[in-house]
Parts: sequence; structure tokens; C-alpha cells
Amino acid sequence: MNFGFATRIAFVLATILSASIVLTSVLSMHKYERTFANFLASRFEFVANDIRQRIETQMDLGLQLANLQNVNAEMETYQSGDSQILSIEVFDANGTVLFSTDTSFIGDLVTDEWIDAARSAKPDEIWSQQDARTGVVGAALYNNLDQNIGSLALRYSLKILNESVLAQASRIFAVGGGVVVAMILVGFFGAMLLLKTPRKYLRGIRGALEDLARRRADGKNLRAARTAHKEFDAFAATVIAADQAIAQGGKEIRRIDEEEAV
Amino acid sequence: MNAPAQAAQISWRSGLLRRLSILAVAVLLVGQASVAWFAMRSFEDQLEPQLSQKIQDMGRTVAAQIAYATDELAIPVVDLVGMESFFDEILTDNRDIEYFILYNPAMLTPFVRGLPQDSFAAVMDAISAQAKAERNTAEKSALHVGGFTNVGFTVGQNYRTVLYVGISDQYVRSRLSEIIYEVITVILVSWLVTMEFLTYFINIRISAPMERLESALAHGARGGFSYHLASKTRDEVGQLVKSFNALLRALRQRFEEFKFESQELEGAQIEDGIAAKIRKVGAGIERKFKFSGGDRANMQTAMQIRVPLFLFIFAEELSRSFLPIFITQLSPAADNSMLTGMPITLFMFAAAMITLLGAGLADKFGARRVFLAGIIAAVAGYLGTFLVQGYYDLIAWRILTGAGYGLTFIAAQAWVTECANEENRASGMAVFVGAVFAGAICGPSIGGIIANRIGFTATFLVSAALALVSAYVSYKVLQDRSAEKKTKSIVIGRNEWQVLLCDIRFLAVTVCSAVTGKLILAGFLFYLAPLYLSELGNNQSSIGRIIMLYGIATVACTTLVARFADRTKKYALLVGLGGVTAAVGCLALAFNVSTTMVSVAVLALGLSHGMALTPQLAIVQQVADRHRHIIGRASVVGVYRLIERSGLILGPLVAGALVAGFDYVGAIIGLGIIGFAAMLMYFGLSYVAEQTDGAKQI
Repeated sequence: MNFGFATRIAFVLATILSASIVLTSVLSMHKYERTFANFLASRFEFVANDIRQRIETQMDLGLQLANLQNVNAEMETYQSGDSQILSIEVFDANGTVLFSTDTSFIGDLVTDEWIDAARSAKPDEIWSQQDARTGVVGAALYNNLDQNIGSLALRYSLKILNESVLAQASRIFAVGGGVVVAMILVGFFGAMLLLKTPRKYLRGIRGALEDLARRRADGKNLRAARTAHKEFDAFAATVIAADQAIAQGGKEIRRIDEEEAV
Repeated sequence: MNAPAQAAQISWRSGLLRRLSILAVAVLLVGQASVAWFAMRSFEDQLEPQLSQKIQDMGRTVAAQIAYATDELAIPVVDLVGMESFFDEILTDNRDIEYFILYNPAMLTPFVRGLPQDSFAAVMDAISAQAKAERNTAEKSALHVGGFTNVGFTVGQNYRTVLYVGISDQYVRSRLSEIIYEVITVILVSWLVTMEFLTYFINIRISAPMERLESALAHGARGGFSYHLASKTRDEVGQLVKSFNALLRALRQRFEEFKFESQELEGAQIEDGIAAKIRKVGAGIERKFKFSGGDRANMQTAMQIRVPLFLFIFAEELSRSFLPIFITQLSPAADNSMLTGMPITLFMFAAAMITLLGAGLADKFGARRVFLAGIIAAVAGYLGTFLVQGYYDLIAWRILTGAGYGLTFIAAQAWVTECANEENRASGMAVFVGAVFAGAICGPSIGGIIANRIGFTATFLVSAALALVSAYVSYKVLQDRSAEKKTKSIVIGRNEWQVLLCDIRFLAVTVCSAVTGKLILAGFLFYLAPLYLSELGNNQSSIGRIIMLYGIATVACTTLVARFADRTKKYALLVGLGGVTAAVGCLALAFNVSTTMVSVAVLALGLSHGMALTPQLAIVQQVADRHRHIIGRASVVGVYRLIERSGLILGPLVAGALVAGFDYVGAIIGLGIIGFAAMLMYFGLSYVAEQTDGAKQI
């Protein structure tokens, strides 16, 4: 299969354009995912902070964390107002769940990662963790002696994030694919147009060369062969001259041979 | 060929790359811009509801807290205290919220925090109007005024007190603005990559074969039919070459048949005189036309090395924007700045040593094999760095990569020298330099973006993959030519060293300008800039973009300055100005410490090298001309390059020592002072040289 200049240039453009569009799309999707995740997290960080403030206000009045009133009710109010909140837990410094929107969790131990994150968080600092399906934001709880006495953790669903990212990715890659195809066509026809002069030039020489070769093979009149540009014509004239010189030479040696034999 | 026809051909050939470049830019720009525009629109549509949801949650919560004070504790809204600090705390934690307004018609001045002064009147007028129109409704409609969206929440049961939360209409877009910067970077890099491939394509597939074909036609026009043009391609040129070769082959075949007949007849003759007559006829034809001699014109040019070299430099430069940060993470003592600089220094040292000791390798084994060996060493280095466990492993792998880098450099230079002759050596070197700078522009920016996503070590894996692509391309397009043409080995003896080191002008341009320039390049750009930009809070993508400015400025400046220098011959002045520019760029950080100023310093360094590179070489060649009876030009340039590389080795060490004594800013200023002092010495020595030899340079 013969690939001309335009096809090759279109191939170069298509390869680089496709790679760059894939790169742009991946980068954009990454940024989108990060921004979306940040928006989600910042919303829940605000909620976590608000609950933390309410708890710390009660503790400032001298109440122990385990004895606080209305904590579950406040947490349930938040959860019922937002379908993305999976659960909210308050646990003590040892990781034992004291309050939870899912009462079956009360008394359970939270994971070591949560305990470590809660212990290393400074006052007013939000800690966060994330896996493929859920995100967690937490706020460490400090009493008025500045002692870390536990933390609250808000688990939220990342389903909306994952679905949105998937939908956006398919849209962008579909658009990107369409753009690549359109640009390949533009590149191909653009290259055809731009390469018209050199292709015409090369075709002219090739046509003249082949015509000359055909005429030589068929024994036709070489002088009537097609012409191209001056440089080629000078070459063709020399080829014709050489051809004739060889033919003439052949006749001459045969003549000498015959004459001398006689 | 007649003059107008030749002029027309030169015109379409030189214009072809320009026109194809415009086509490539158009295709890339339209393609990328369409995808980016669609992505931005689509992302905004998806993200705005998320932001809106947060505003709703936050507004309701804050309004409920205020309502607790006004309704439960019965504090009149006008008597609330501490509202400013309450709002300020929320605004500090939530950058997406622009302002809060607590409004009640009874208040003389509402509580307002964060609202810009220039929007105050417009926003307050809109709020007052809404208060009148919606005085008895709990749900307040959103107001769009002054570039903000105001969402109102009634406080408690009294619908007259309203908390307004303001967000900028541009907030989501501003959060996505990094996409725009990254798309621009990707467009720039893809355009450069496209240009590399198009330049290669036009040279290798169109210009060079056509020049050879024209040369063969001209040769044929003078009676030379011994040419055989080598071409494996099946494009227009390939088909033409095939037709050309077939015609000449048929002509040669005919001549061979004639010769055979002639020899037969000649051998059959009894009389020598008749045989001589027959021989004379054949000799007459052979005098006029040349049918044998095996002139085989192959299609090799210096340009063939360009794409593989570009890809390799691209691969190496991917880590430019984060290497010092990565080293710091692995260093046994993160605060020991000398340890941070060591892997960079040892990389440079390995590359310099290989260049010095392995100069004859390309002659012995061929440029292609040495180039491939260099890439293989570098790939092993990248893979080792990907799997690196600690600081000392990293040093070992970086030394191996440096050795590979040095080998590819030797091989690329040898290839250019093999392909070029005296007439086109400069354009051959331009191929080499062009590939290096194109790689230096593309690598850091894309490397920064990639590292930002997949991490430092994984980026070395990308480098390895790219280097392997380079190896594949070089394997396919380069041929071993060492048997045909050997490059001259440069032998520099004690006498030559003595002559050069006693030449004040050579000393000035080499030590004061070139070494100092490379010292600042390695110390500032390769070491301090990434670390300091990271400390200023820039992510890897931003650092990569800033480092990229160096390559852009150098490329942009080099061509302009080269033309200016050749016209005015003010080489020494330009070298001096270049050095001063780099020093001023570094010293500027003494007045203002910011990312912008570091960018300015990087830009200044690029401009400085763009200004100085060509004039430096011109001065070195002048020096070589002066000592041509003792030492060859190539040897002078070789000594110059060797001394110059010491700056790259010393740079990270000097920068590390300065950081140990001061801080990053102090170290950058310190490099500026070194650069400035070197330039003072340079001007002083140039003046002495001018007085001594009377040669007017400035």
C-alpha cells in the first residue's frame, strides 16, 4: 500500500493531536474530580465543624463527652437533611463510638486509621480520609483543658462524585474522539492542498520519466517524449543522446565487423 | 536548472514548513480549544449545583445559629455582638464564600463582612429592594448583582431579618482555571512535537531526497548514469526514485549488452587494427557517458538524529521541575542542602566524564550503536530511579543516567559531524541544538503536569518509555556509517592548553561568562528554583511551566541575537549583557520575594543564555583563528566545552553551600552576586585584552 505525503502528514498530526487530546482530557477530568471532591468535602467539613462547636460548647459548661445531651438528635437532623451523609459518629479517645446516627454502631470501635487521624489533628483542624466509595471528614474534640478527648466523623457517599466523573469522562472522550476525526480530515485535506505544488512537481517528473522509459522499451520516437522542467529535460536529452549513441555504436561495430570480413 | 525555476522550487520548499506549521497550529488549537471549551462548560454546569448545595447548607446553619440568639435568647438583632469575628471565622475556613450580610430594615448599618467596597452600593440597593418586595416570604429569591450571587436566608420566624451569603459568579471558573493553563501548555508542547516531526518529515522525506534526485538529474544531464538512489519509501518521492532507478538501470543494461557484443566482435577479429576500431567505438561512448562506478546516493542527513535526540532530551527533562524535591524526600538529612545537590552534580560529572573519555567510541562502534547504548543506559537509570529505595540508590541510578546522557550526546554530535561537510556544519549543529532546546521546553512542563498526577517515581517510568521510543526511532532511521567516514579525534596537549589558558579573551569568555552561566543554570534552575517554588506553594504543574520559560526565552532570544551579533559584530558586549541579565534576574529577588519574581529570574536566565550562547562561540572561534598555527578550531571549541561543563558540575554544590549558609532567597541572591562579580571580571579582562592586542570587539 502506498502512503503519500498528505497521508503521512495527516498521520503525524492525528497521532500527536490524539495524544494531546487524551492528555488534555485526562488532566481536565483529574481536575474536575479533585474540584468536585473538594466541594463535597468542604460542605461536609462545615457540617462537621458545626457539630464539633456545639459539642465543645456543651463541654465548656462542664459536661463529660459521654454525658452530652441532644447530640444524636442534632446529628440525625443533619443526616436527614442530606441524603449523601451515610452516618455521623462521635467517638472517645480510645475509639469507642459514643453517639452515632446508626445506633447499632454505639459501643463499637472505630478503625485505627480514624483514631490515628483524630489523635494527630490539632484543635479546629479537620481530618479526612477517602476510599473508592466513601469519604470521611472528621473534627477532633478538645475540652477546655485543651485535651484531645475524641473526635466526630462524618461518612458521606462518593456515589454522586463517581457517577458524575464517569458521565463527564464519557462525554469528554466522545467529544474528543469527534474532534480528532474532524481534525484528521482537516489535516489530511489541508496537507493535500499545501502539498499540491511539490506533488505536481514530482508527478510531472515521474510521468516524464515513465514516458521516456516506455518509449525506450517500445522503440518509439524518444524525441516526442513528455517534458517536465528544464533540469529534467536536460537529463532526458542526455539519456536520449546516450541511447542513440549506444544504438549508433552497435550499428557501427557491426558495420566494421561486416566490412572487414568482406 | 534555470534561475526562475530554481527560485520557485526553493520558495515552495522553504514556505512548505511554514504553511504546514500554520496548518498544525490550526488543527491543534481548534481541536484542543474545542475539547477544553466543552470540558469547562460541562464541568461548570456540574459543579455549580454542588457549590449551591453547600451555600444552602451553610446559610441555613448560620441563620439558625443567629436565630438562636435573636429568637431563643431574645437579643434584638441590632444589639448582637461579635458578629464580625463570627463571620470572619467562617469566611477564613470557606474560601468559596465571598461575603455575609445580616440585614434588617431596622438596622442603620447592616453587618457586612467580605463584600468588596466597589460592589457595596449595588448589592445593598438590590437587597433593600428585595426586602421591600419580599417582606412576608420565608424563601428569598437569589439576587445576581455586581458579579455575585446573593442567596438570602430568613433568620428565625421574623422574615424581616435576612442573612445573605454571597458567592462570586466566577468562583467555579476560577477553580477550573488551571485546566486552561494546562491546555495552553499541552498545545504549546504538542505544537513543538509536531514541528519536530514535520521538520523531520519535510527534510527526510521531501527536501533531502529531492535535492539528491536533482543532483542525480544534473549529473545525468552531464552524461553520468551510474547513480543509484536509495529509497525505501513508497510515497511520491519513493515512486519517483523507483522510476528514475529503473530508467538508468535499463540504460546501463543496454550499454552492457552493447559492451558484450562489442567484446564478442572484438575477440572474434584476427587483425588487431579491426579490433582496435571496434574498441574505439565503445571507448568513444564511455568517454561521453558514465555507466559504471557505483555512485550510490543514500538519503542520510544530519536531520535523521533530530527526532530521536529530541525524544531523549524530552525524556530526561521530564524530571527537571521536581528532581531536587524528590531528592530532598529521599535524602538521609533533608535539611542538608549539599546532599540535595549531590545527585545533580554527579549526573553532570558522569555526563562530562563520558564525553571526555568516550570521544572515540562513536568512531569505533558507529554513532548509531553508541546512541542506542546511551539510551539503554539511561533507560536502566530511569527504571532504577522508579524502583529507588533510598538516597544512595538514587545517586547510583542518576550516575548511570548521566553516563547514558553523555553517550547519546557524543553519538549525536558524531552523527552530525559524519553527515555534515564544511559548508553545512553550522546547519548540522543547529539540528542538534534545536532538538536539545525543544526537549528542554517540552520536558519540564509536561513532566510537572504528569508528576502532579502520578507522582515523582512514576514519572521516571514515563521517561523510560519515552527514551525507549527514542531508541526505536533511532534504530529504524539511523544507519551505521563509521566505516565510510571517520570523525577527527581531537587531541589536546599541554602546549595547546597553555596557549589557550594564557589567552585573556579566551579566559574571559570561558571562565567568567560560560562557566558562570552554566553554574547559575545548574545552581538556580536545576536546583534552587524547583525547591523554592515548591516552598512558595506552587504545585508541580506550575513549577514545570515556570521552568519551561527558560527554554522559551533562550530559543526566542538566540535567533534574534545571532542575527544582531553577526550584523554588528558586538560579540563581547552581548556576552557581557547576557551575564548581567542573569545576575540581575537573581538579584531582583532581594527586592520582592514571590513566584512572579522567581519566574522573572528564570526568564532573565533564559534571555541571558539566548544573548550569550552564539556570541560566546563567535569569540571562541576568533580565538581559534588567532592560534590556528598552533591549535585547530575543533580543539579550541573542545577545550571551551570541557571547561564550560565544570559550571554545570559546580552549580548545585555552590547553590547547596549557599543554602546551608542562608536560605533559598539568600542562595539565589548569592548566585546573582557571583554572576555579577564574574561579569565585572569579564569586562575587565576584555578591556585588558582589547588594550593588549588592539583588536576592537566592542
